[in-house]
Amino acid sequence: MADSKSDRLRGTLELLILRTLAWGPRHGYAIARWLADTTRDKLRIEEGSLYPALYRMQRKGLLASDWKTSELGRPAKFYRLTPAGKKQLESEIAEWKDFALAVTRVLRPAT
Amino acid sequence: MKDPIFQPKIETRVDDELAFHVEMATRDLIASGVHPTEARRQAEATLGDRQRLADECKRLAHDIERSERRTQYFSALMQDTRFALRLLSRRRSFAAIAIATLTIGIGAATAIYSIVDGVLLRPLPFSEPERVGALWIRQPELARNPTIAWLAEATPVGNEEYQAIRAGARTLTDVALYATSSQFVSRPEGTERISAAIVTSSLFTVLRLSMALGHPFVAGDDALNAAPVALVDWNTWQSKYNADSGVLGKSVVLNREAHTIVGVLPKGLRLDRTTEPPPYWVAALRDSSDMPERHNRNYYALARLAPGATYARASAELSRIIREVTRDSTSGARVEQWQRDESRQSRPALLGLLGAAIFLLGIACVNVAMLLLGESANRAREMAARAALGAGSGRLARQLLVESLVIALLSAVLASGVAWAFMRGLVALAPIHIPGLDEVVINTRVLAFAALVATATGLLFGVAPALTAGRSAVASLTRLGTGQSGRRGALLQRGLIATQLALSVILLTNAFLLTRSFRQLTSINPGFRSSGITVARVSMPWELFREPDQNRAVARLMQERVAALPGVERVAIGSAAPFAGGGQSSPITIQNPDGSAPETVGQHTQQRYVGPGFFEIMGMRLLRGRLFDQTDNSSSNLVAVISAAEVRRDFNGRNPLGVRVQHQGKWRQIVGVVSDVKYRGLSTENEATIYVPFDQNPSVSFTVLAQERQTTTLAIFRRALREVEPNAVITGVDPLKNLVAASYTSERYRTALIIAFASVAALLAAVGMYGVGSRSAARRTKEVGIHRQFVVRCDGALAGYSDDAGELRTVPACQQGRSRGGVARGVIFPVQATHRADSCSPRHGAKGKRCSWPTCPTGPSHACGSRP
Repeated sequence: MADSKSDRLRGTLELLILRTLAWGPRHGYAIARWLADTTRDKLRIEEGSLYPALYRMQRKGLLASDWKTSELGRPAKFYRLTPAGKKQLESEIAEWKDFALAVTRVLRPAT
Repeated sequence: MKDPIFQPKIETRVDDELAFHVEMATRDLIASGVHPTEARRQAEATLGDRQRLADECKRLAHDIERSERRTQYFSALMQDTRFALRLLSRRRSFAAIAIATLTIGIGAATAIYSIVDGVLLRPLPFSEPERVGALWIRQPELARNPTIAWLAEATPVGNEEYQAIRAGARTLTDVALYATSSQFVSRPEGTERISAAIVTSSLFTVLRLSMALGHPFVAGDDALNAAPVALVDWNTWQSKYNADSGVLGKSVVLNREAHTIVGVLPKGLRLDRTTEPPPYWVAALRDSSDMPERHNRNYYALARLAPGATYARASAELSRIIREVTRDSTSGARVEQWQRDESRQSRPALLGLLGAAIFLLGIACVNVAMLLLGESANRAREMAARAALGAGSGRLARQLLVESLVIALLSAVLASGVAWAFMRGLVALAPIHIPGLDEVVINTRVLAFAALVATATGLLFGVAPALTAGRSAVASLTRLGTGQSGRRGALLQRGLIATQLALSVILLTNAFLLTRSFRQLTSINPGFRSSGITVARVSMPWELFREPDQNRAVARLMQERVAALPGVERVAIGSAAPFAGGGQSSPITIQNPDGSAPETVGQHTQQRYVGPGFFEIMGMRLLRGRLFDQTDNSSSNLVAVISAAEVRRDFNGRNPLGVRVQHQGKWRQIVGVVSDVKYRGLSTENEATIYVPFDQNPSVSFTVLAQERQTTTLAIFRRALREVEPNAVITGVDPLKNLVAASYTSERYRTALIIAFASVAALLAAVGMYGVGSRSAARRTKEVGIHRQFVVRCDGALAGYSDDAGELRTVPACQQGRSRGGVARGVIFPVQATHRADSCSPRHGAKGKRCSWPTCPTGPSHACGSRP
C-alpha cells in the first residue's frame, strides 16, 4: 500500500514534528505554519496529513496533548513531547546525521 | 483525572481542532490581504477532504482513548496492589489472622478437590475414555437374599453372554472380559504367588491400547486350549527384565505352564485402580471352565460404545440379549461409564467431603469479611479523607477489593502447600479401596482450582465491605464521621453472622449424625467373640494339593503346631472366619417332610467348613441338637449344622433336626442349630448359613483360629505355620478384632474427617464472632457504661449484650456471669438470643412490656423495664 516514498515522507514528517515541539507545546495550526515556513515549501507536506500524523504519534506515546486557551481566546489542542518523544527525537537526529554524513561522503569524490 | 462527564465527546473535540485550524488559516490569509470569502475557501482547501480527514482522526482518537484508559486502569491497579501490600505489612496481626483463616479454608478445599479430581474427574488414560463402559448383568430378583444381594445389580459376565453380546450388540463397537487370579510363577530362584490379569483379545480394541513392545493378544489366543501366551506389565519389564527388548519370545512359567511372552504393556496401564498392576497378563477363555455351556460367570466386562450410541440405549439392547441368552425374563444388563462405575462406592462420600470443605471455606470467607468490615469501620476516617480528596466511591471500593484479592491470593499460595500436605495425609490414612486414590497429585488443574477459589473468595468476602465502605465513606462526608458503620453495615454484619452460624451448624449437625451412626454401627454385636482370637489365613497351592487328604493332613498339622505355641488355649480350623473374606455360598435343597421329591427352597446359603472347636472358640451358642466333634470325620455320616437365620428362612417352624439337605451335590443330615454371626460387615443382615465338618470337605484355603491367653507375636504364629508346610501361602495373620475394625475403616475415616472439618469450622466461627463481639464491645464501652448507669437495672447487673443488630441491645441478668462477646452463647443460642434480647430490651421494657423469656429467673411476669 504505502510505497517507500510516502514511508520516507511520513518518517520525515514525524521527525519534523518532533523537532517543532522540542521548543515547547504548540497547536496543530502553529506546527503546520512552522513546517511551511521552515521547509519553504520544499517538502510539500499536505496540511491534511498533519493531523493523522499527530494522532498516530500520540497513539505511539511520542506526544501528549492538552486543551489550553489559544490566541483566539478559546480552547485549542496543544501538543507536547513526552519523555519517549524526546528520546525518539534525539535518536532520530543522531541517525539522520549519520545518514547525511554517509551520503555526503559517498557524493564528495564524484564532484 | 477529570470526570468524564465534563469532557466533550471525542468526535466534537476532533471537529473543534480542525475548525480551529481553518479559522486560524482564514485569519492569516485575511491579514495578508485576501478577501474574507476567498480566504475562507482557501483555508478550507488546505485540509483537503475534510470529512475523510475528520473520520480518520476520530478513529485514531478513539484508539488513543482506549489505550489511555487501559494504562490508567493498570497503573491504578498496580498502585492499589502496592498500597494494599503496604497496609497489610503495617497491620501484621490483621493480615496474619485473615491469611491464616483463608489458608485453612482454601487449603482444605483444594486438598479435597485434588482427590475428587484424581478419583472422579480426571479422565482415564485411554482414547475417548468417556465411551468405555463397565458392563454388568442385572438380576434384581437376587436383592431379596442378603447373601447374594450384591450380585443383583452387578453380576459378572461369562463366556456364554460374552459370545452372545459380541454377535448381537449394535450399540457397542466391541466388548471385552477381564479378571484377576492368583497364579504361581516359577522362576529359577523359586516359586512365587502373584496375581495375573486374564483378558480377552478384544480388550485391546475396546481400550485402544498400543503396546510398548511386541503385539497384544490376537483373536485365537483366547480360545479353548489355545497355545499359552503372556504379556508383561511395564514395571515388571523394567525391574525383572531390565527393560530388555529381548523379552519377546522368552517364556514365563505360570501355574506350571510355559507361556510365551509376546508383548510389553504400555506404561501406567491399570485395569483395577485399587491395587498394584499385575505383573503378567494371560489370555482368557482357554480353560474348559469357561466353555459357554458351563454358564460360569467369572469376568468383569468392558465395552466401547458404537458411534452415536448412548449408555441408556446400550443397556436396553444388552438387556434384551441377556434375557434371550439366559431365558430369564427378570434379568437384564447395565452399561455405565467405567469411571463412574468404579467410583460408585466412593462418589457420595467424596462429594460430601467436598461439600464440607466448601462450607469450611465459606465460614473462613465470612470470618475475613467480618474482619474487613471491622477494619473498614476503623478506617472510616481514612476513607472519608480520601473521599474528600476526590476519590469516588467506585475508586474506594476498588481499593478495598484489591486489598481482599491480595489477601486471597497470598493465602492461595500458602494454601497450595497446606493442600499438598493435607492431601498426602488423607491419601496415606485412607482406606485402600478407593479407585485411583494413589494417583492423586497436586497438578496444574488443582492449582488452577485453588487460584479460582481464591479469586472467588476474595471477591466474595471483599465485595460486601467494599460496597459499604465506599458508600459510607462518601456519606460520612456530609455528617461528621463518628466511626459508626451505620445501619447498612450492621445489617450486613448480622447477615454474615447468620450465614456463618448456619454453615457451622450444618457441619456440626452432620458431624453429630455421622458420629452417632458410627457409634451405632460399632456397637452392633457381631454374634461372636472377637477379642483374644488370632486368625491366620492359609492358602495351599492348588496345583500341589489336589487330593483332599493332603489338605486335611496339612490343616491338622498346623492346628497341632499352633496349639503347641505358648499362650495358645484352643485352636480350630474353619474354611473362613468372619470378616476375614473368602466366604462362599451355594444353593441348598431341603428334603420334604413326607419324603416327596425335594424342591429347592433355599436360594443361596452361606457355607462354612469348620473343624471341632470352631463354634466354641467363636463363642457361638448352640440352640438345638449338637455341635461337631471328633467323630464327624471323612468316614462318618455326612452331617451339617445350620444357623438360626437358615431355620427362620427355610423351615417354616419345622424342627430342622434330622432333616436331610442337599448341598454341593451331597445329602447331609442336620444335627444342630447355632446362633447367627455377621460375616462381611456389622451392618449386614444375618445370613442363612450351613456349616459342614471340615474333614468332610477340606478346602484348599482355610483359616486357623487360635484363642489365646496372651497375644502371641504374629510373626511367631506365621513362622509356626510355615514350618508345617513351606509351600503354603500365608495370606494374613491378624487379631480377629482388627479384622472387625477394618470392616468399618471407611466409615471411621469419613466420620473423623467430617468431625475435623466441623471442629475447625466451629473454631473459626467462634473466633470470628469473638472478634466481632470484642471489637464492638471496645467501640461501645462508653455507651454501655451510660446504659449501665442510667438505663438498665435488671437484677442489678448487665449480663451481656448482643451487637448483631448493630445497635446496643441489653439482655438483663437472666444468665449469670458477664460474657464479653459471648462466644459459646453466640454459637449455641444465636437465634433465641436475638429474640430474647428484643423482648427484654429496655426500650420495650420502658413501654411497660413484660419479659416474655420464660427462663428468666425472675419469672415471665417480671417487668424488664428501667427501674430507677
